[in-house]
Amino acid sequence: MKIFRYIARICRWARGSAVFAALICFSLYMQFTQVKNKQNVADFLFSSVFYLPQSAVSFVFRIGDLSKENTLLKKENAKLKLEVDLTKEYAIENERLKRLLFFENQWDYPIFLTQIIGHNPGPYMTTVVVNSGTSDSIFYGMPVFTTNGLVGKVSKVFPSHSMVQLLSDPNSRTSVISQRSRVLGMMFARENGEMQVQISSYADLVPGDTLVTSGLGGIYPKGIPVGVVTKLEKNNIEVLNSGNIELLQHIESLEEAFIIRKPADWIVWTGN
Amino acid sequence: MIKFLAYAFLFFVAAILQSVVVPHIEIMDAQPSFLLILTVITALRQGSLAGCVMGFMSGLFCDVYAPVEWLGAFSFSYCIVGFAVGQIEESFINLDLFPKIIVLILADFLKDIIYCFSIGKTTA
Repeated sequence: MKIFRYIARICRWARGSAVFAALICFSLYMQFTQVKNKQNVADFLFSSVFYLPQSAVSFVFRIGDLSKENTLLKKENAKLKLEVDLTKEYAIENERLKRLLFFENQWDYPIFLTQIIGHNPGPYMTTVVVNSGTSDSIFYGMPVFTTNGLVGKVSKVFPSHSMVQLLSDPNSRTSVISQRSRVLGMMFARENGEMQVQISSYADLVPGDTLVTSGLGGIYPKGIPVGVVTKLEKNNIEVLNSGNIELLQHIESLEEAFIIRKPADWIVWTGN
Repeated sequence: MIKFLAYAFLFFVAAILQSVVVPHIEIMDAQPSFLLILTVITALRQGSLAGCVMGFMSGLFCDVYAPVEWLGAFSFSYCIVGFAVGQIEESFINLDLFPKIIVLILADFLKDIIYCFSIGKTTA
């Protein structure tokens, strides 16, 4: 019986040793074979023996990567959004500057581009501040306008900045003329901010007519577009009729403007 | 058969832990090796034959992640370790917990020595 036990033990040992020897031989073969064969063995292991753990590992990594990728994409998205916004802004600016360039050649006087850097506080905009002053040869009474239309005039000048009295200031009066019928009128702003024009009751003015500066006030040169008549109140009893105007240049959307370097022909001085 | 499936499942779990969790664990520049622990445990419990097979499979799994030039070095070292630990277990019949830990540490040393030797041999 003892002999059988020894034989069984030897057999078990021989089996273990044989498997061990086979595995060691295979390991050594993998080590000393050519790189091309190694690559083939590695590919085979990837695609067969370790496919299941490999897929599980890949799945776990993919979940981890998805979170990182999501964060990265969010960041990239925000960056791209910013770039798109900037590009849009540049495109708009480019368009505006093109129009300004074309516009500059229309006038006999030199014109100067200025930026709006502030406006008066309160519900109605009556004054804006521009970043040009006496150091840029800007003086009192120079007209300010944009490619859309008239904005106002320089009312106070400082070395580095100036204040512009807007057409929407109730203290402002502007002599205008109808582009179609050439009738004269006086444009002003009411206390509630509405723009109005006063014309003689027999004058030929209809809603839709465009009004331009008449050049009679001594400040604005003739022909700058101002606004469009939207409503007219006809009254045969009164000497003067009045009409509502919509300004061509909306004051709220002002970003930059032109100042015409034209000295005023005359100034009605109201101060002491 | 059930034992075989149980060890296959343990190998599967250890392989995933080794690939996913271990890269994030580092204690004084050292990282645990779940596959080596599994190899040593298998060898201690099931003997040298199971130890060397488990060691070979664990080494092979490590090999596929290592540079292809060193393919076989891990399977060689893990296989020897599994077989050697199994031989110790068979010689000493039953080991307590403390000697088992000592065996694990020695197995790690042995694995590293054989691996470094194999790499040097292969690259030379």
